[in-house]
Amino acid sequence: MQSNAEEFLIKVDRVSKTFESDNRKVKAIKEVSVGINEGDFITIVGPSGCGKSTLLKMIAGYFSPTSGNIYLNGETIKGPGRERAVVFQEDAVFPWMNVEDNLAYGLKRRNVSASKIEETVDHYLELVGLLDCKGLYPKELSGGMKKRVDIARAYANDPEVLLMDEPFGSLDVLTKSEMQDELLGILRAESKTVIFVTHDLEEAIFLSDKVVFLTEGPSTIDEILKVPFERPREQHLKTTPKFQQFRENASEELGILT
Amino acid sequence: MANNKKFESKNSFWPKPFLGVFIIVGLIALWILSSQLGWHDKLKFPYFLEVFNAFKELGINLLYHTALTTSRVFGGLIIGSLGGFIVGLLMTWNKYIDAALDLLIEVLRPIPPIALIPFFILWFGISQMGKFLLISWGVFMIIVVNTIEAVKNVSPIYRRAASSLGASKFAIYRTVVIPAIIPSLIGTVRVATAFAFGVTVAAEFMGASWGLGYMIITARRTLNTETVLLGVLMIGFISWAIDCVIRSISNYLTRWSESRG
Repeated sequence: MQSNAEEFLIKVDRVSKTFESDNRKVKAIKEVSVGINEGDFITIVGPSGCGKSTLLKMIAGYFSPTSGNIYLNGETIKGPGRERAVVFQEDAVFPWMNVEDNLAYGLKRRNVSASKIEETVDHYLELVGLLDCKGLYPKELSGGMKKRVDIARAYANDPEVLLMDEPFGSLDVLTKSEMQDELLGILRAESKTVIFVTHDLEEAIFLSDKVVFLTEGPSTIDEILKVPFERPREQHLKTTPKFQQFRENASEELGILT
Repeated sequence: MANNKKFESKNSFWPKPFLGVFIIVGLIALWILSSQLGWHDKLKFPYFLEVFNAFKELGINLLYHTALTTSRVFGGLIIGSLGGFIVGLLMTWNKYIDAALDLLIEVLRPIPPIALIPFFILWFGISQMGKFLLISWGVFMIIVVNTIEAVKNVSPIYRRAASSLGASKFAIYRTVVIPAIIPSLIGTVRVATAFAFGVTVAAEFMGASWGLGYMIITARRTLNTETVLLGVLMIGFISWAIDCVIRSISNYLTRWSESRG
């Protein structure tokens, strides 16, 4: 198994997770195995409460599997680490730091020189189009702008993989599509391995190369779907017949109502 | 929209700070008027002019009394707050420290510091040190409990984000936990200031040779109510001034906070 794990950037190997509260045991995830290659953009989709977020949090290292292992470059994940940046649904930009200090946060934690920090921060702020907002506090930014800062902060720390836990789930429809374009644009400029959790099948197909479907709890992998659409992708792809057809087939096959 | 505008213009006609000053000036005017016309018993509530005379008579001594009381409040507030803050952080940092101190603090916390004054006088005499320690003790108990509560209320999202960006536990405390709890802690410090004043004056009642509490208690023995009232007014004024200082520091420290303009 160990040799197998080394082929992938991230290898989830027969992972189960049971939550215990008082004297109730809830099995959230059962025997999930999946491998993620470098440069993959995979989404994890499933009905709400199916444990897709749990899986992502275990990859992030916030808690460990009840059984099974998760490997990063062949090594077991034991806790959070800077190789795995996380973008949450909730607002996680530090409100007591201005935009610049938020982006510099990870770099400052490992003694990067001040000039290198400034260069990196400017580079990623420019990439998300917020160079003018360097000195602003998060309370002065809109929801979409805060998400951009959050993504830029993750990028600036140069992680090996970007873990996104329903990052656009709390945004309005228009901002959501804007952020999807933004994310694809950033990825075009600088490729990154992404694991993206969402309950929105359309979003999953639009963004990713592979869609992993989890069943209702205890979750197992139902199917892994390859998305055939060429990149770069634009919003109008969603309205094309082939996209609609693909989505319909997928949801029918999986019995998901979307 | 039109209605909103109407409201705004109505509000700006009576700016809020002016309204507060107006009430105070009005009360003083009523007091002077009542004093001049002899509406009330001057022993039960001294006349304005007599308080003013007491103020002139005390002269520089009033300044000494006030300065001493203020320094005790400030000293106790700073030592007690820092102590409570540090111990509170340590208790949330390590569960063994928490297990060791939690019960002790919970047992000692409900004891009113004023009840301990006889012991503090036995141990430290009427020295400055004894008062500092007593006030610090009282402030410490307030701050330590609120620090622990505030740390527990920090959103786990921020800690997780920081740890995924490579922050150590110490760095998370320094850059996430402490800034996140400052707004709620400043509210607690403001409450503790009023409390510290109470304890200081009580301590000065029981044993001191200077201070507003001492001034009030000696004036009381000779039924010198105008000096008593003067002392009370000074306490109100000084605690208001200290609160202004704390609020301006707070405004700077929490300039990032959502609830502020």
